[in-house]
Amino acid sequence: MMSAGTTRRVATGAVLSALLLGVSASAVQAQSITVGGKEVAVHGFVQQGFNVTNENNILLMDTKKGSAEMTDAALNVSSNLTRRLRVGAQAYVRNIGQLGNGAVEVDWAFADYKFADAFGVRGGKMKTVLGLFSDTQDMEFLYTWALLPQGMYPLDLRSITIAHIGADVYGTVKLQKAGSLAYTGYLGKVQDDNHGGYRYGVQDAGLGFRSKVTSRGGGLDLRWSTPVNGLITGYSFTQTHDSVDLVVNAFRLPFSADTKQARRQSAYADYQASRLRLSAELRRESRDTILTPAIFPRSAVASRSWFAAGSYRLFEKLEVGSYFSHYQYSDKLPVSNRDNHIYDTAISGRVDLNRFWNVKVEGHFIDGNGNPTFARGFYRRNNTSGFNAKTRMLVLRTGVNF
Amino acid sequence: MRTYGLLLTLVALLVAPLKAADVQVIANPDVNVAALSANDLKDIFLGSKTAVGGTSIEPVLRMSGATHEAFLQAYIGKSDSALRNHFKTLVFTGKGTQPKAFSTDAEVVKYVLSTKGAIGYVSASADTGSAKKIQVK
Repeated sequence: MMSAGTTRRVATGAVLSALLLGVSASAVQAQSITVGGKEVAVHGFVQQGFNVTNENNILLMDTKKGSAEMTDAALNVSSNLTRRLRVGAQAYVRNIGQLGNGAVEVDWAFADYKFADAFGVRGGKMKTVLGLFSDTQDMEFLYTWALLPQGMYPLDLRSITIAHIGADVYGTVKLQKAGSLAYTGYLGKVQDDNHGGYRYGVQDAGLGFRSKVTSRGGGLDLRWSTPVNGLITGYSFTQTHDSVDLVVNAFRLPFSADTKQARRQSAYADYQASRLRLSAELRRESRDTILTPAIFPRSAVASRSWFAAGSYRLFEKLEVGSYFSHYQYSDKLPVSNRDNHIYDTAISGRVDLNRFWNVKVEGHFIDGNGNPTFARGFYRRNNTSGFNAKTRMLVLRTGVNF
Repeated sequence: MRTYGLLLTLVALLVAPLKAADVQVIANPDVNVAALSANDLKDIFLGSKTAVGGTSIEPVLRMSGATHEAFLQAYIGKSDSALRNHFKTLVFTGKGTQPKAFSTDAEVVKYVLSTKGAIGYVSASADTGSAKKIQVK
């Protein structure tokens, strides 16, 4: 007898797999339809993965036995209503272990009015630009990698950085011979995620949620397309005020956690030549949290992460690459502690079967587990006998987009 | 391994380089410019410049082939797969559209002539009819 949740996940997986097979079996083309005399573009993607590890279950999947619980998909529609006004929306669903649980969500939905190339505004739910890949982290087809560097773009913490509801200003300013500068500024709130990794990590520490997590704030991204063809570099900053009501389950002790300044700063560079791509990013995240009543002392934590990645397209259909990802939970604790770091070396191969369908194979050599309460991949609930310091992981992933 | 590397180098040397001279840029007659800088042309085809001479513009691509490769190499500085990824990024973040792409020069010319603000590229030998030829400086 399956539970309702399990039944829903299985049904979602079956539907997504059928869609994947159906889409890939046909000649996939971007579709457009005409509604009220306006052309409406329709695009989508479906991605399926398989993970197996020698030690430690990862990402809330039973990876030690091998798990194919790694499915996600999106479908969007958009239209230019006038020369300057554009509207669109995208639905997104994922089932990665216990992440997402097959719940369909509005990924983005907004109206965009572009006064000029140098100034436009958007309102609604928008993807958040933070560092190189935050707004595109779901789109495996853009990358050589099956998994982006998890120290910086963890699948399980996607909802913290993926989107905000509010308003954006954006534009691109020409700098004559110095290239161009693209900017995005935003204000808004970040939606809570009932199936996000941060909830599972906190619950595994013996705490319960008495409220939704609220997160309000804003940020800025400056992205310089340099005069060197293919080279961009940039800086992102975001700051939010986060709060949540929790309870210590063992004592039924309620308390509130308030983080007035949760900051993320990122500096990054990306270089693309004809076959070569090099990327690197450095990020610092800081949180200063006060508990009421003060059952634990004030907690100020600064985390650091960075990655360096390189890929090369050997042939038209074959690309290979590697990256090193470094994550340190707290800069006040020795980085050598295995519960204070995650180092991940990945080696990848990507085959493009056609323009719309790719297959990837990727090996990961992971050292450390990070802090399981503020989990990035490693959770107590499916590693009940504790963590091993080293993990090797094989990831197979395929995706179709149109 | 060294033999393999030498073979690749030899193949690369034998392949004729793709040149801007192999491509001509055309526009709908209502586009109010006769010439564009290479930087403006790049911005137009990457979607970051949406108007020239007071006219809203719409870039049009060739789907593949030598003309497409020559255009990318001469003016865009991205491979075909990198260009497709650029547009997929726009499409799946909601921040832009994927330009229309056609299989033949004749289809590009036909669309450019029938669409206000359209700018495309075809092979240097293509019959462009009454389309405006744009000089790239």
